[in-house]
Amino acid sequence: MGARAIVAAEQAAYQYGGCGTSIGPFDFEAGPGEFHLLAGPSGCGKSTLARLLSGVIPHLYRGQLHGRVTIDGRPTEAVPLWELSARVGLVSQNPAAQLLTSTVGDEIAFGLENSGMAADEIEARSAYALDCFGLVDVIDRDPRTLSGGEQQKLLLSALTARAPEVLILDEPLSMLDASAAVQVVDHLRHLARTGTAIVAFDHRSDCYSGVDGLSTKALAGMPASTSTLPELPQNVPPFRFKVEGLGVRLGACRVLEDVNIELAGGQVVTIVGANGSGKTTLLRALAGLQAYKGRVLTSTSKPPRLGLCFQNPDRQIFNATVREEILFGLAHHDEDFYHLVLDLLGLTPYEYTPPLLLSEGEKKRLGLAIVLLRPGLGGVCLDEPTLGQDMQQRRVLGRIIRRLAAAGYLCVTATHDLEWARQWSDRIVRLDRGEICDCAPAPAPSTATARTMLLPPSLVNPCTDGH
Amino acid sequence: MLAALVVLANVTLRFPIRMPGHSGVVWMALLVVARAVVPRHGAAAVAALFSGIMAALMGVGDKGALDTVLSYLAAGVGVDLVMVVAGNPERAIVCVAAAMTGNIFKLAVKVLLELWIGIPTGFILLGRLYPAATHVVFGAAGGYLGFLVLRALRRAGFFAYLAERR
Amino acid sequence: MHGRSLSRLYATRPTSCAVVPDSFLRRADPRTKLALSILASLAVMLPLPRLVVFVSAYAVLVLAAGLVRQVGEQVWRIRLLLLVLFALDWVFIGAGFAVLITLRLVLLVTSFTLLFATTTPEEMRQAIERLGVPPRFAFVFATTYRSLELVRSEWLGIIEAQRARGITLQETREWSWTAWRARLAWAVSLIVPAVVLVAQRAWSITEAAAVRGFDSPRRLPARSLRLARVDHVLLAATAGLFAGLYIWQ
Repeated sequence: MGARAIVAAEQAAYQYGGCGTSIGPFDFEAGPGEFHLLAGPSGCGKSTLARLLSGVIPHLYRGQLHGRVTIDGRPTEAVPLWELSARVGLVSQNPAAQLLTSTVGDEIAFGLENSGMAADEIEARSAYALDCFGLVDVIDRDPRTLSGGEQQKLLLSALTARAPEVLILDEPLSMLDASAAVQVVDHLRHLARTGTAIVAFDHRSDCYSGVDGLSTKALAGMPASTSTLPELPQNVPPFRFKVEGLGVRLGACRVLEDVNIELAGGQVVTIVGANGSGKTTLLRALAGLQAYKGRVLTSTSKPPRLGLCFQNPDRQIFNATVREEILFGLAHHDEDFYHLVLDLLGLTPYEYTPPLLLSEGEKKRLGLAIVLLRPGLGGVCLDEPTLGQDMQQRRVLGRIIRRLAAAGYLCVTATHDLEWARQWSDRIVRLDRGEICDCAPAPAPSTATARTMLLPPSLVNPCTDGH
Repeated sequence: MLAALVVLANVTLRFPIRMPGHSGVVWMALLVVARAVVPRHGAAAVAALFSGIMAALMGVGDKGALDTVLSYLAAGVGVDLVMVVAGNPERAIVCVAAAMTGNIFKLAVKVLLELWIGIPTGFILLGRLYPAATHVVFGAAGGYLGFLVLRALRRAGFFAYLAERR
Repeated sequence: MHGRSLSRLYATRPTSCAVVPDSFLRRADPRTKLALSILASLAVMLPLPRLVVFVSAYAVLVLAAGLVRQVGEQVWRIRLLLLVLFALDWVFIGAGFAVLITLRLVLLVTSFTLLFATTTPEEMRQAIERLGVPPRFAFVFATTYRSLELVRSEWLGIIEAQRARGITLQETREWSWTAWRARLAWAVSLIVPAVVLVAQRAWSITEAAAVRGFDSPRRLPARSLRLARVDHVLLAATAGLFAGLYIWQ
């Protein structure tokens, strides 16, 4: 790094006030035109470091900051955040949560207004930024109607219109599919070529492999768990059920049409498809939360219940401890089975922890625990269980799912993560605009390609189930 | 943002009770929560004012936008007044008193508007005596619900989450 | 979940655009419309003859601005109250008083329709800022309104998620302490995750705004409201009407 560093951290460490977790010490420098990737697993502190380097910590967070973080030689705590933000931009993980206005054009103008620019300069810069990121045609659209990739481009556009010298990105690709991720990385490469320092915190390091001059730094995280997962007792009697002609209409919209599929206990079935293909609706219908037409035939006298693990586990949390959350509303429960489930899901150390203080991955597993303890359960449906999770967490989840299947549970997941689906599923079902297109056994992992979302044509096999 | 929740809860989360003032159970609870989550004087009034304006924009309310905005605002002012005097929202009695006062202030605004346009006092008394009693009861229930929500939030670690942020 | 509440939730769509199509009032400055609404609500104090004149002028404005349906909806909602009051006033006091109270009530209930049915939240935000309210509050208001759809979908998601684990409201007319405890527990199970999700969203927006320099003292709005000819005409006409009513006395 020959050029002067714009952003630098010297033995920077930060300790959160509430729960006492801390990160650091950490040393880092970034100069003009450099592209840095700081890669690390979930929970290693990427978001905290991103906030440190952008000045959000300490301005918006209480806690103890040690060491020094400087932007252009000035300590971040000595400069107001509005002034720092003119030099350093920050893009966080979830693009939808960062949208501030009601049109694409206004979203870009928002930051420029805060720079004190005149109206004509705002207009000129907005037009240029929109053109650079291919958003001119959607200037009057509500940003919430854009796809995840377009939203991320909009945020990049909004920040780069302010011409910051450094752009910090906290897991910018985690909510994106493969093709959108490639586009975003291409834009970042272009920005680096024009002199902006790019600092990306991510666990998807493979997506950055084509970047020239990439400097990679590994962030230490928790060591991977190698313990054997406990086996669950065979509580679920064998069952099969057949879905015939399942259709769901929401208002005037036909979401699912004539879905025919056979499922059985002990299977892991993954539903893949583009956004809007009906994956979540199918899971909800299977779990009995969505009215549908069609019929379900079962091999047992009483149809087995399928529980649904929601994409956002925060929607269910309201109790004081993990234990209370799992056991809420249960008149009776098997304490041994409860502890077995905690062990399987790695929640035993957190049994008496407030659920809101768990990490995202731990909350998802809490959601699964809540479902597993319900009586009469024959299977679980999981909606995007790998979203935002790193490789290690996805592997753990896969092992858990296989353990559940071994105990006789039917596991149905809906995901964009084709690689994960190939590795851990018995069958993959592809939905396209509410209809089943393919229903194939999962291929061997060695044939997987990381960047495709849909099944390659060569993997379409004759389906043995009725559809 | 809690103002958005107040409006939505007022529209959607109703107990199946056909009595005047019953909607106060949930949205008074939310105003109490808003005041505790943002521990500044006037926080409930601001949240209530925003809720009122949003409700008016959505066409919520039977007696027009002015009545909607002023009655929501009055409820928030009532909650804030009690919190200024009594202080600690961790006590059930404070939450109950705050919500009761807010719900009564809400009714009082409606009565004042009726007086202002000249409706005879006797008619108002006849029409509002029973609602006054139910507003007190449901306001108290709302305050107690607010206390329960605050206690659950505290135990679930929500205030620890807030404490990390400025 | 109460069936009627659910349908109300779906029916009351918090769209971000004004309901009425383009009209001279739609194009007027929100501050002008606010002034007209305030004056209309103050006009309820006028005695009967002058009130009739004012209400007639008001009706002409409503007609010309294409707000008949919106005003009609407001009046329809209070029809029972209007009928009962009118009857009681006529019987116990007199016909003139009955007409006076009815007109006053209708005017009070519909006065702010002029503003709320013709103004988008973004315009409301600009007006709030131009009236001297700190930009932070104006921004919070606009953001909150824009978030209504999102908060609503989260709210429905919470209701469904809790229902999936067996937490539902049992519809019962029972008044026992046990029944009330169950109702309150159900409400807590919905409100706690809702408050958490709303707080998380609010914090994301705070950070996103801050990293785009929101608190900057140099902030200059790209668009600002200016009074146009339609505003001057409306304000002048209203001033003329009030002057005429004052002279008439």
